[in-house]
Amino acid sequence: MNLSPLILGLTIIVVAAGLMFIFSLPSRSRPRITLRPLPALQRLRRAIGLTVENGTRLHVSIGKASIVGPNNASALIGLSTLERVSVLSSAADRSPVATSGDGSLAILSQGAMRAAFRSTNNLEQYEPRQARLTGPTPFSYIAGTLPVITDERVSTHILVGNFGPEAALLAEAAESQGAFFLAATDSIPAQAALYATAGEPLIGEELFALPAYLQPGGIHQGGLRAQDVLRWIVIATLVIGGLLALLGVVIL
Amino acid sequence: MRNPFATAVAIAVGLLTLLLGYLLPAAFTNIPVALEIRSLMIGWAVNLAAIAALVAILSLVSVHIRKVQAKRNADLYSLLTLLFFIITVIAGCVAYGLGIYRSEYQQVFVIGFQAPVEASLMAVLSVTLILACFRLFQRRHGMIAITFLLSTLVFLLFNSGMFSLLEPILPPGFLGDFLGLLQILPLAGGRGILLGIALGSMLAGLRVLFGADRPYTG
Amino acid sequence: MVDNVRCPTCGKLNPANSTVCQYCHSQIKPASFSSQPADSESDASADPDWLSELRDDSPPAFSPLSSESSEEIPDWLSRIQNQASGDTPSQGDPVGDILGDHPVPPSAASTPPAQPSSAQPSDEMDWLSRLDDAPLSSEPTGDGQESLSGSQADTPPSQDESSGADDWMRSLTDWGMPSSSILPDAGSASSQGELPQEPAALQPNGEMDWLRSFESNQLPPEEPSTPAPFSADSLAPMGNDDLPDWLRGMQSATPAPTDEDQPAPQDIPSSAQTPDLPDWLNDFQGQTQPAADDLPDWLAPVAGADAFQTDQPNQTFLEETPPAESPAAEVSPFTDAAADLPNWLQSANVSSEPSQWASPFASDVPPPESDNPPSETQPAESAQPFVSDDLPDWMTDFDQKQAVPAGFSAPSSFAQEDQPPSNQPFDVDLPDWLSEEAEPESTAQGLTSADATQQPAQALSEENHLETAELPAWVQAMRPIEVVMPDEADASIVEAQTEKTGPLAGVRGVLPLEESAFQYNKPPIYSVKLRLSEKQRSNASLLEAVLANETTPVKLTSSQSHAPRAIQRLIVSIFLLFTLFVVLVSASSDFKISVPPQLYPPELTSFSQQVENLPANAPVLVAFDYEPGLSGEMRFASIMVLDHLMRKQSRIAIISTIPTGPALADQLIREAASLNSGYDVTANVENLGYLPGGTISLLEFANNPKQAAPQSFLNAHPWDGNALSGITTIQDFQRVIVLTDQAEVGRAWVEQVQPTLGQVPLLMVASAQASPMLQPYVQSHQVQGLISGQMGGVLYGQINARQDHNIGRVYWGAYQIGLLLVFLFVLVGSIFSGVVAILHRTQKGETHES
Repeated sequence: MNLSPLILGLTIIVVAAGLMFIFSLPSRSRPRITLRPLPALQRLRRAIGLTVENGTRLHVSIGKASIVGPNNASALIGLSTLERVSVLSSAADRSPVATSGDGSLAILSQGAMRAAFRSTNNLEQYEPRQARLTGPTPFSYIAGTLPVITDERVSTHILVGNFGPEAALLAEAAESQGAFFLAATDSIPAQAALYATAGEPLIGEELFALPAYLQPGGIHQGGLRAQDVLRWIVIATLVIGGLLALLGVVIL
Repeated sequence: MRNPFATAVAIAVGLLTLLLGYLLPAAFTNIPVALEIRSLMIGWAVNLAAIAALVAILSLVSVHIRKVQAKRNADLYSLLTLLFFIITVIAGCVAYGLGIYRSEYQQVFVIGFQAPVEASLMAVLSVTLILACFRLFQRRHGMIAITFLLSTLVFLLFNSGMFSLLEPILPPGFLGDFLGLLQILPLAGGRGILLGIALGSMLAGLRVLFGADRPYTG
Repeated sequence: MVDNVRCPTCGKLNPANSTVCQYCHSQIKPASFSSQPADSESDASADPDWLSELRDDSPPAFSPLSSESSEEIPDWLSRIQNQASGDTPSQGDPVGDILGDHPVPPSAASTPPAQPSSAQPSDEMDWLSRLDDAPLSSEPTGDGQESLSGSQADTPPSQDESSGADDWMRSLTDWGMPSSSILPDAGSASSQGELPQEPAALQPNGEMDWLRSFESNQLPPEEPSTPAPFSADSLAPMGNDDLPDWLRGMQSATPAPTDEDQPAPQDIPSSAQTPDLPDWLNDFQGQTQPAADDLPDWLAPVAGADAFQTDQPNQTFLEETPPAESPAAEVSPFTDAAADLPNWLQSANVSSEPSQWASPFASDVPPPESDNPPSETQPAESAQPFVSDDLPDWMTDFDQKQAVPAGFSAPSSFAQEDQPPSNQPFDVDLPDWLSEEAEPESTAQGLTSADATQQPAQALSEENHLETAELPAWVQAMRPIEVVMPDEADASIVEAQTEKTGPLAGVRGVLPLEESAFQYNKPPIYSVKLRLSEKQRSNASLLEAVLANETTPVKLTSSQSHAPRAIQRLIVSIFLLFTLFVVLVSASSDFKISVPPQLYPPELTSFSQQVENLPANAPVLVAFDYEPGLSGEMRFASIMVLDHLMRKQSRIAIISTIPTGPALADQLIREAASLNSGYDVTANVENLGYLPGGTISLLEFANNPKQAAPQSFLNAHPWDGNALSGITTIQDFQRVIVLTDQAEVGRAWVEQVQPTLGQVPLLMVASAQASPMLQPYVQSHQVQGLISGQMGGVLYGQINARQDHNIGRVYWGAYQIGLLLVFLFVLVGSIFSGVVAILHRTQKGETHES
C-alpha cells in the first residue's frame, strides 16, 4: 500500500487542525478577522427579523445527507445553522420548523432545536414535531417539504445541507409564496439549479462559511481563516505541481 | 459544557474511526483486533441510523396524523400519505410472512409507484428550470448570469449531439478537440469547487472532533 | 472742560486725568470711575423690566428736567418727563410715589460729593446689588437742603456720561427733586437756602460737568466749583482758612445747633459762609439759615408740593429713623458702596446716608447716644410720609430702614442698630441670589470703604459720640403735604380720571376703557434662526431624511400574479409533451435530426474495453446506486453494460447502497437478460440487496464482503452459490462497476472501496449531472472507465455494435428534439427577459433621476 497518500492526508489534517486552533485563540497582535460581506447573509438577518416581527414562521431545511455518510459535513453545517437561527428567532411567536431527508439527521435536528430553546430559556415552546423527517428518499424529501412551504405560513426558508437539483422545486414554491429563500449546498448540480431558481444562493464552499457568519464563536471564524490558508496552499501546490508535471517531474 | 459524556464519546469514536479507517496503513488496521473494533463501530452506526430512520418515520407519521386531526384545514394529502404508508407496511409484513419473492414485491412499489412519481417530479423540475432560465436576467445581473446562460445553451447543444452536423464541414479532428475542450471547462470548475468543499468538510469534521460543534447533545 | 482737578485732601490742583494727588498722594477719584462708563453704555439699553414697570407706573414727576438732560434721556423717560411736567408740583406726589418705589425721601436725594463720580455702575445688576449697601450706609441725611444739593450733584454727571441707563437714572434722580436747571427758574430764592451746601457735598474729585452746568446756571463762570473735602478729618484739621471761601462762608452761615446734645447738621455747613462766595451762594447761605418759622415766601408755595422744601416729611424722617450707631452708618462719603451706586440710587441713599456728607458737618457735634430719644421738635406722628398705612409692608420697612430723612441730625442718631440692612423694596424684584449676595457685599463694601477713606472714617469713628441732630423747625415745615396725606394724592389721581362722556359722565375713578382697549403689546419677535454646528446639522439632515423616507408614500409594487407563471408553465409543458409524444410515436420511422456522434470519449472506450477484456465467467460486482427517479436516464446505459456483461457470460453480483437499488437492479437484469436469451440469470446473477448503512458500509464491504452482505434476495447463503463462488474478498472480482446518479456516491466508492481493489478496475456509469464530478477520478485513473448519461449509453451500444438492441438509440430522436426545444425556450425566454429587464432598469433609472 502506498503510504504517500496517507501521510499527505494526515499532514493536511494536522495542519488544518493546528491552523484552526491557532486562529481560534484570542490575540491582540493579530488583526481582527473581517469577513467578506455576503449580501445573501445580510439579507438573511433582515429576513429573520421580519419573520419575527410579522409573526410568521421560519423554515430551515438541512438536507438529506446522513450524519454517518460522506456528506455529513454539510449536515453538520445544517445543524449548526439550525441551532443558531433558532436562537435568533427565539422571540418569534411561532417556533421555526426544520425539515430533513434523513432519519438520523431528523433526530439531530430535534436536538439542535431543543438546545437552542434551552439556551434562550424558552424550552417550554420547544415542539419536537417542528423538526421532522419529510421523506427518506431525495424526492420524497422534496415532496414532503413542499407542503411546509405552502401551508405553514413560512416567510423565510433556509436550505443548508446536501440537496439534489430537485431542490429547485422548493425554491420555485417559495418564490411563488413571496418568501425569502436562501440556499447553500455542497452539491454542484444543486448549486446550478438553485442559482437559476433561488433568491439567495450561496455558491461553492460558501456553505461552510455560514456558521462563521452566523455565530460569533472564535472556532468558526478560526476555521474559516484556516480554510483560506489551506486553499492558498492547495492553489500553490497545484500550480507548482502543474509546472513540475510540465517539466516531467513526478512527485506522487 | 453541555452533555460532556456524549461529547467525549463522540470525539473518541471519531478519532478512532479516523485513525483505523483512513489514516493508518493497512498494516496497522488489518490486524484482527482493529478489524473487530471497526466492524463493531460501523455496526453500531448502522443500527443507530436504522433506528433513527425508524424513529424519524414514526415522527413523520405522527405529524401527518396531527395534520389530519386538525380541526381547521385538515390536510387530505396527509391522509393519503398515511393510507399508503399503512398499505406498504402491511404488504411488506404479509409478503415477508408468506415468503413471497422480495424483489418482485419491491418492484411493485418501487417500479410501479415510486419511479413514476419521481420521474414526474423530474419532469416538473425540467419545466421549472426552463422557466427559471426565462426569468434569469430578472433575478441576476452581470457577467455571471450571462456566462451561466451561455453555458446552459452550449451544453444543451453539446448533449443533443447537434455538433455532429458540423463534422463534415469542419477540419478533421477539430470537432473532437472542440468537444474535449468543452468537457474540460466544467471539469476545471467542478474540481475547484470540490477542493473547496473538501477543505470545508474537513474543517467541519475537525470542529466535531474538537467538540466545538456538538449537534448530538440536544 | 476743566483741565485740572483739585485734590480733596490738600486742595491743590492736579491734572484732570490723575487719580492720585501729586502732592499729598491721596486719592482724588476712585480708580473704577474711568472704567465704568463703557460698561454703563453697553448695558444702558438693557433696562430691567421692573424699571419699565416703574416707568409706566411712575406718577407725574415733581419737577421737569432740564432741557439738556431731557435730550439725553430715553424715550420712555421722556414720556415720564412729559407726564411729570404736565402735573403741577402741588397736585402730584411724585416724590412720594417714586420714592415709594425707590424709597428715597425727596429731600434725601442728594448724594455725597464723592458719589457722583464714583457711583457709575458697571451694569444695572451692580447697582441692584449695591442697593443693599444703602441700608448699611444709611445714615441720617440732611434735610431738604442737602437733598436739593444732592439733586444738583446728580444731574451734572449725566452730562459727562453718554450712557443712557445712567442718564435716565440720573434723570430719575433729578426727577425726584428740583433740577439744577430749574433752580434759577423755579425760584432761585427757594433753593438759595439749600444750594450753598451742595458744592461742598458734591465735588470730592474736583470739577465735573454737572458742576459746570450748575455753575453755568448758578455760579459765575470764573468760580471753579472745586469742592472742599468732606471728610471729617480733612475738615477738622482745617481751619476756616483752609476751607474754600464759599464753604467757609457756608460754615459761617450755618446756624448753630439748636440743641447742644443734638446739633443740627445743617448748622455746621451754614457756618462756612465766606465773603468769597458768589452772590447767589451767599444768598443760599443766608437763606438756609432760617427756621421753619422763618421760611421765606418763595418757599412757601413750594412747600406744599416740593418734598424738599417741606419740613414735615424730613422731620418725620428724622424722627422715624433710628439713631445710626452701626459702623456702616459712619461710612464716609467716599465709600465704595456709595460710589458704585447709580446716581438715582445715590440720591436715594442720600436720604439714608446723611453721614456721607453730614458727617463732615457733624464733626463738631458730640456723638449721639444710641438710646437718644427723638427730638422733641420732631413729633413721631409727623414722621409718616412714607410709612403710611397705604404703603405696602415692604415699603414701610424700607422707609423705616432706608428712607432715612435727610435731616441734619447726627448720623449716629439715625443708625438703625436693631434693624439690619435691608433691601426690602427690592426683595420683590430681586432674585434670591442677588439678595443673598447683597448683605456680605454691603458689609465688605462698608469695610473697604472704610479702608479707602481711612482718614474720614477714622475721623468718623472718633465722632461716634455725636449726638442726634435736632431737626430745625423750618426743615420740618418743608415736609411735603402729599406724603402726609397720601390719600388725598391718590384722590387727586383718581379725580384726574373723571369720566367726561357717556352714561358714566362725571363719575370719578372710572377705569379708562379706551386706553385699555387701545393698549396692546407688540408680540415679541423671536428669532427662528438657530445656530447649529456641523454635527447638529448633519444629524438634523439625517433625521430629516429618515422622516422623509417615512413620510414619503411607498410606491406599491403590484404583486405579480401567479397566473402568468402558471400559464407559462402550462404552455411549456404542453408543448414539450406534445412534441415528444409525436416523436416517440413516430420512433418507428427512426426519426432523428442527426445520427449519434461518431466521436467517443476515451473513458467510454476505456469502459467498453475493460468489459470486453473480461474473461468468461468472470465475477463482476455491479452496484446499483441510483434513485428510481433517475432510472429513465440511467437505465439506457445500464442495460447496455449489463447486456455486454451477459454477452461475456460474466457472473454478476449486485449490491446497492440505496434501498430501492436492488429492485431497480432486478428489473434491469431482467431487461438485459431478455436481450441475451442464452444467459442464465439464476445461475450467474446474485442480488446481494441493500447494503445496511449505505455508504458507510462500503469500507466494511470492501474489507469483508461476506460479513457486510451475508444474504441475498433468493439465497440465504449467496456466497456459496455459483455466482459468488471463490469470492472471499473484493479483490476477487474481476471488475467493479458502479451505476450511480450522484457524484457523492461515486466519490464514496472511489475513496473507500477503490483503495482496497488493488488492480481491479473500477468502472462507473453515471448520470449526466454526476459525471463531471467524477471526471477527475477518471483522469487520475482511479476510475478506469466512465459512461455518462443517456448519450453515453447510446454511444456505448453503438461502439459495441448492439444497434438492434440499443434502446437508447430508439429514444435518441425524442431526446434530441427535447433538448432542442429546451434550447429554444431558454434562448428566447432569456432574450425576452433580458430585454424586459433592461427596459425596466432604464425606466427605473429615469424615474429615479426625475
